[in-house]
Amino acid sequence: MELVTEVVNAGGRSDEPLHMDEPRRRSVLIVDDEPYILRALMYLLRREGYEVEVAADGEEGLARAQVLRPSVIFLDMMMPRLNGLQVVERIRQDETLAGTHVIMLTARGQTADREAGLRAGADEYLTKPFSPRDLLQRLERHFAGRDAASPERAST
Amino acid sequence: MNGRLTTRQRVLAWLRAVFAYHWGGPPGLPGSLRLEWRFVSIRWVGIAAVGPGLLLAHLTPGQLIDAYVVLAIAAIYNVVVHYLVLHHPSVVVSGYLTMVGDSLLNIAMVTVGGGFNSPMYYILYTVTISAAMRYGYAPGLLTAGMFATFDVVENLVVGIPPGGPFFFRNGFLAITAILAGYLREQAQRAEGALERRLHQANRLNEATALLGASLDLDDVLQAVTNATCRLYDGDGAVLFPGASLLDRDAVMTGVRWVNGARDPSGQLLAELHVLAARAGDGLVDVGGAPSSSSTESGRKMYFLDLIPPARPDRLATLAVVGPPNGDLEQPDPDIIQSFVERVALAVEKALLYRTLAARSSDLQHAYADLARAHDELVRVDEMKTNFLANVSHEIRTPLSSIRSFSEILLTYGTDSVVQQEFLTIINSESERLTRLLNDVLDVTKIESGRVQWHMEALDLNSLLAETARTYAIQAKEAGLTFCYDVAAGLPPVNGDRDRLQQVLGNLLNNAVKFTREGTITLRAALAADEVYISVSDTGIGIAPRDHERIFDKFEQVGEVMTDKPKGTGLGLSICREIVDHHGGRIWVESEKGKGSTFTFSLIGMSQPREQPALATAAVG
Repeated sequence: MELVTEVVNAGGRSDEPLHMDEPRRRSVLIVDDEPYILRALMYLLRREGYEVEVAADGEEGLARAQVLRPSVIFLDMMMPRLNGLQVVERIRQDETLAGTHVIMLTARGQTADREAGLRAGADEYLTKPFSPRDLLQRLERHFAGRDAASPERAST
Repeated sequence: MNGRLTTRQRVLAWLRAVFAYHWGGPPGLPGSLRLEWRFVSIRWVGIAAVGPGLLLAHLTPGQLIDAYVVLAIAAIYNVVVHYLVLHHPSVVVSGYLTMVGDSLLNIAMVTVGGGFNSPMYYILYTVTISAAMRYGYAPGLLTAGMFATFDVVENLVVGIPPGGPFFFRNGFLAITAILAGYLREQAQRAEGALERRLHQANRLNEATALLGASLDLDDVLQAVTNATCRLYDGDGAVLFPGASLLDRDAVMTGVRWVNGARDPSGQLLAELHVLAARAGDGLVDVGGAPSSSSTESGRKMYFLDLIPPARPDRLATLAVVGPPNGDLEQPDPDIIQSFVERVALAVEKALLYRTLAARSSDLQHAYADLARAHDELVRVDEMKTNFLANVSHEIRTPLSSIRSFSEILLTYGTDSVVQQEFLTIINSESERLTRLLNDVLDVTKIESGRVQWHMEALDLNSLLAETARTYAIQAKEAGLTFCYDVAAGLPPVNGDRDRLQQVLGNLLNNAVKFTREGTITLRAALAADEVYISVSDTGIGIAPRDHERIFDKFEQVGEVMTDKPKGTGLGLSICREIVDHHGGRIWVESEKGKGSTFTFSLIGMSQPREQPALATAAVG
């Protein structure tokens, strides 16, 4: 219980910039206009030791992504200003963000929405309500795969 | 063989051409001159025959010379007549000049050739016969009389009183003239009958040619009336529709036609108009009418029943009106029969066409209705799909929070502060979910018309005051000023108390939710017979482009303040449905950053005195 509190407190400094020259870092950006979703994911991921940043709409999310260059981005679909599809399209057009793993996390669960998301360039598509455990496992799998694919980088 | 035959044919053809020229005349010769022309030819034949014939007549040399002189004069005379026919037709067209000339020349020939007692007398028969056949009894007898006069004169000169031979030859001449005249009369009668027939046939053709111009029943009936008038050459005609035509919907009655040239004053037109109108009202039963009767102004009317050949029912009766003082010459029965058949055919064709057109129009309407219904179904289906997708999205969002936080709590335990926070979120999101489900149920109920409206006469002042009390507290808790500005003595409205309270609550709730600091104002005032109720705030405002959109389902615009639970996106849509049901309107006036004013109107019950009666009616 105390350990948990420590981790939460340690991850609470959201203004701290991420290290852009650290390819092995486990940095995650969450873009969603639902404050509770942001709160839940932030708590969950920081607890597991990820570096977590959040943005409340599409425009802010894209700007944050371009500055922070996170490894993984969780992206909601229905957001003010830029929607999730537009954000993922722009991320794919931005060469400095090449290799960013984009996971759509949305309440739009229809097949057509899923297809639209993947066509726009998302790597994975998760529908709300989601299981936090399942989400963590996916994230873990992604980072494990990445680290295994570039061992020389991992050694540096 | 061939050559000889060809020569013979050529000779025959030449003879035929010569005959045709001398019999028919040069091309373009008027018909009135044809007879004179033919007699020029006949005279040449006569001269050619008499020339050698004189040698056989036992004449003295002196007589013979005189006879040939007369023949030469006759030849010159014929050349002159030939010239006159071609170049001065007016001189010879009456025929009297040649009649007198022929008579005198023949008298001269008879006198020269041995007198009226000689065989030369027979020459005179040709002149008398030709005169009678050309010009009738009187000229024939006149010629005969002229010859008799000369006969008498000769007898007197010779000194012999007219005796038996005189009476015999002149009496016979008179009988010949009468017979020739009779022949002429018969020929003329036959020709006249032929001409009349031809005339009628032409009129029939002209009349029936009018029928094919249109397939429209009204046009055809008008054409039939016009055609009948022409066939009879009448001054006007009226059509009285028969039972089988009147059965049809919208068959034009009072169809009439007037020959305008014969009715310059329009009097006949007016008369026929009245007649036709009366027939249309069924006041004049013309079925089985007498073959003729007369109009009010005394013109004779001739009736023609239009009965199709194959069926016994009368389509219509046509009445043709004759000249003011006189009769119409009726066409021959077979002409009328032929006319009736063609007219009946045209009318039946138009009836058939009308039926077909109506059926086609029905089909087109049915098709259009189907297409509209289909479009409507597609639209409703689309709306339902969108609604479901939106509902699903809106439900998944709070559900997602509830599931995440509860799973985190279950998995990680965490400390009591975090537990408290997460449980609060879970609770708030469950509330949001409940609200959402309630709103969704509300919307579907209102839209499907399954809502029980409890309409009654409502006292707005008490309703507003009551509602204001609740929200004044809520506003104060949020640190806002609440201002109540409702006019006293508002008229009652016919409405559902709970639903109107729902509208007010929704608007006031929104106002509190979207305002950080300032004032919430509840206003109500009467203008004309409408009560305007408005809720104003000093909150974040709404951009003009969103003023209509916010009343749509699941539309939430702008930034929702992040520390407040989100709305369902259905509140304003429900408000609009409720206000619409009360016959009012709802709209927003707002500017981004400067607050919003939501106003809705309700129709006031005009006279407070009538209130109880109306209230009873509304409740009942």
